[in-house]
Amino acid sequence: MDITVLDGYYYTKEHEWARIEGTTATVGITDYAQQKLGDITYVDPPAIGNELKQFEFLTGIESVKAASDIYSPISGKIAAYNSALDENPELVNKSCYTDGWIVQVEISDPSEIKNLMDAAAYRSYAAGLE
Amino acid sequence: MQPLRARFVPYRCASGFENMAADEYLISCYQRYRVPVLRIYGWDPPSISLGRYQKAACLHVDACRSDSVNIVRRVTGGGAIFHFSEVTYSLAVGERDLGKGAVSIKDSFGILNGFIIEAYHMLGLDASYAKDSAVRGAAAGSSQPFCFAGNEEFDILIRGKKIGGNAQRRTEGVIFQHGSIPLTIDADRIMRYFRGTIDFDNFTCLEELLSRKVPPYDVIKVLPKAFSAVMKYECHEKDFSPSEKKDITFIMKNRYRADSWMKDRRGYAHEERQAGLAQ
Repeated sequence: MDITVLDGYYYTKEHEWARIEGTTATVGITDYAQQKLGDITYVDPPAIGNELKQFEFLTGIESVKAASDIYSPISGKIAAYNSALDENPELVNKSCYTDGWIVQVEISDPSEIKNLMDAAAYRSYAAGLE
Repeated sequence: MQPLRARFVPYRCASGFENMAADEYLISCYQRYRVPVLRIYGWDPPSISLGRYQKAACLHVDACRSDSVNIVRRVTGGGAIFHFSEVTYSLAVGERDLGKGAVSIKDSFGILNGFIIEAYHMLGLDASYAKDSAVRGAAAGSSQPFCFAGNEEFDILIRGKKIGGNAQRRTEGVIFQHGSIPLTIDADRIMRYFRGTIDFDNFTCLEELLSRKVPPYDVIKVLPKAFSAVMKYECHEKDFSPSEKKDITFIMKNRYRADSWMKDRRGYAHEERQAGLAQ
């Protein structure tokens, strides 16, 4: 399966990405994940201010009659949600690394970044799954 | 080589709330023992199940209430179903049971719905996937508030009409799927409970296809056989123990009978933590 992996992003084994800028992480799902999920019909908007723990449940997403979980790459507080997904959840399919971002998180523990994969490690991990 | 083992929870009728709690319990059961679980059940009283993120606005809620039709929210995606005269199955397996890596949603429906197709074959019916059907395959890919009226690639068609419906929940490497096998369709009641136009020519039921009354037992007896034949698991019957029934009752009271679960979905993660039911 051909997938796009962007340099400069961090990745999880559950196929989420995080783009870190200062103390904020913008979070979404990877090209691998969106291809496996298929046509996304709904992203459940999480409450702003919710506290997240690294690798624990962030929110739910629906595609092709399946309700799946998205996990948070990093601990912190939800600072923003991409409300464009309310009307256009397909942005996650069309533009998973940019317009299809899901939340922004105020990072509570920057040392957790070491638990994430860089682009090279994630490319290798995803290739090993096929 | 020893055949792979799966647990089979035998047929029983229960309320929609209990059925959904028992289905959710299967997920934790798989997480604990790593053994696939197949369950077959019926609905008493009749109920309507909504998809996990579906709005109840598609229903005439007052009409449901006046007829004592319970409305429950599933843990799975997809559209609403009126569970009246049907046999329902549920299944929890691991992603690793289906393949090496992450199995796509479509592929997993393709694999898991295979045993339902085999069950229809055992009943003497020529069932196939919508994507393979000359009649409706080209139109596959539409969803509807009323599940049976939708049409996805891996929906099952017989004589060009959709039969039943299937939906999934994915969590922590577990694939949970449940689905309906309709014995009859009560168009009058469906029109009474669902808003909007439903094209009844698009879907069918066993009674129409077999031109006879079909008792639930006819389906109940073929489902475990079809599962074993297609999925290559040996089914070992084991009903819920008293301790498991306690767990199911807990889930039922705290989630499926809770107003917070029934209301249209928003801020789910927060509610789930509040209920202490996070998986």
